[in-house]
Amino acid sequence: MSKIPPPISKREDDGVRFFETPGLDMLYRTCLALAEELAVTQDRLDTLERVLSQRGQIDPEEVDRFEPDAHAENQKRIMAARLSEHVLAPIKDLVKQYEVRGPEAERGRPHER
Amino acid sequence: MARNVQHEMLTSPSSRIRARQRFVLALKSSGEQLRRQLVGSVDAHFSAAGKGAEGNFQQAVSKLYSEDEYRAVCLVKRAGQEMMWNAIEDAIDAELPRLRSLFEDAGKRDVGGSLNLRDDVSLPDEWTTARVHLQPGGYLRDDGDRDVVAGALYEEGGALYSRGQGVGTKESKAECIIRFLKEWKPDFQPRRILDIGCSAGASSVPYASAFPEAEVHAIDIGKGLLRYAHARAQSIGVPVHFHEMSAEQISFPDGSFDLVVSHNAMHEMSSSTQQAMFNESFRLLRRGGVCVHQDLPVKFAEMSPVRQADIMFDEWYNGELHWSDYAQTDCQAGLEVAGFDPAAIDCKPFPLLDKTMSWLLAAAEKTVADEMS
Ligand SMILES: C[S@@+](CC[C@H](N)C(=O)[O-])C[C@H]1O[C@@H](n2cnc3c(N)ncnc32)[C@H](O)[C@@H]1O
Repeated sequence: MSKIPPPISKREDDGVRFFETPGLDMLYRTCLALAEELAVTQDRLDTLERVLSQRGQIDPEEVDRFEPDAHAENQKRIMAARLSEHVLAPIKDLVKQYEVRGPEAERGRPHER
Repeated sequence: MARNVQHEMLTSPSSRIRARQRFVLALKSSGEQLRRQLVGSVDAHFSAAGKGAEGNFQQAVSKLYSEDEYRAVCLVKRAGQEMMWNAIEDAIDAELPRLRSLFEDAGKRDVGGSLNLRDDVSLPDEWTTARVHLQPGGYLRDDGDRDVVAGALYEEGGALYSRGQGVGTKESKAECIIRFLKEWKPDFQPRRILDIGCSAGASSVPYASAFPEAEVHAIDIGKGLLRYAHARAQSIGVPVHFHEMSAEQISFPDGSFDLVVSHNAMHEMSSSTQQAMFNESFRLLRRGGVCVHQDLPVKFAEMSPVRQADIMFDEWYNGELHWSDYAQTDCQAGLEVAGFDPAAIDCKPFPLLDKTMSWLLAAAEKTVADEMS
């Protein structure tokens, strides 16, 4: 049987964009990446709460009042940067591709890219 | 042997990676539910418009793939698959040195299995660039002579699913076929067994356990898969001989096996490779020997055009190479062409022990002597 071509064409690198509206696929992917990060964070918090409450050591008030020292502050900055990198990765990819392939007009219909 | 048997070649991901894997699994499974639900309603509308079973496949493709909702579930399926591989690859990267040294030491274990790689296997063309299921690097990934990543990715991908399903709840594919054999031929005691398209060897090992008297051989085309399979089997402690060979040309003498099996391999083969595998099965079996080829129960002819269009996703966007060929294949005819007596062929769905699904089996006994021998 001869192969049936895909209804939404793939790009040269075998990637695919399902939506015609420019950026919609990217927006979905951004949301999914964000959700993944959130899931990891929730999981970690849940673990911490369980460990600490097992030890009878948790005091929510104290957590609210916590003042990070310089090292902790730096760690927190790195964490925030990581999250933002992850969430912005699809846009970063788009920007990178733009560099290589040039502006919209030269690239045909968006979903065929 | 439960489907998700524990062994040293499995990774123990950090809690961060485990959290990602949990999330991705949840994402994929809710995405899959959404997709089923949506395809059901598109199907209902399409049929109501008088385009039911006899309706045109091309029309169904245009209809389904132009719906924004369907594009959204496609996107989630594709992104979910990519995110899964990322989370698995990160877990493997973190343990690469350990996995490599387990591979290096595998041969020193007193188990009796072996690994036989070679460089003269001619492959069907499509394989060099194939990324089945989008697995990074594909089945043929080979990053040097201690590289086991292709196998690790394959195994971890499967393990992720079984973990999600609960420990030891499902009958494995091989266990199911062994049960089928016991029902079909209660006195059958194979002495030499061949598993074709063995990947990480997850289905080869159960035969060696179930038939401890037998010599078990397993073949595949991916070096990285086979190295991993060897280390895995040695770690479990069950002897299996792994060989780099293509199903199209299997370098064993005529009549040298009592049992030839394959698991989920037919749907990853072109029609001509599948036919060659049936021909080789016939040639390799001694008189009275049997072959059982097991795979997914996907039959185009039994599906509405919308459902046909939906399952094409896997060929178009999930790296399956021969999905549509497989969904239209006629195993009975193929086994007959290979030389099996039509009366000794049994092609049918066979239910899992818990009846949650059925596998498609293409089984046959070699009742006639090989003309060549
Ligand atoms: C879905 S996997 C099989 C899984 C494995 N049997 C199990 O039960 O875990 C399909 C395998 O078939 C192999 N394969 C594809 N074409 C082949 C060929 N011509 N000869 C041998 N193996 C082949 C692929 O490399 C892949 O590892």
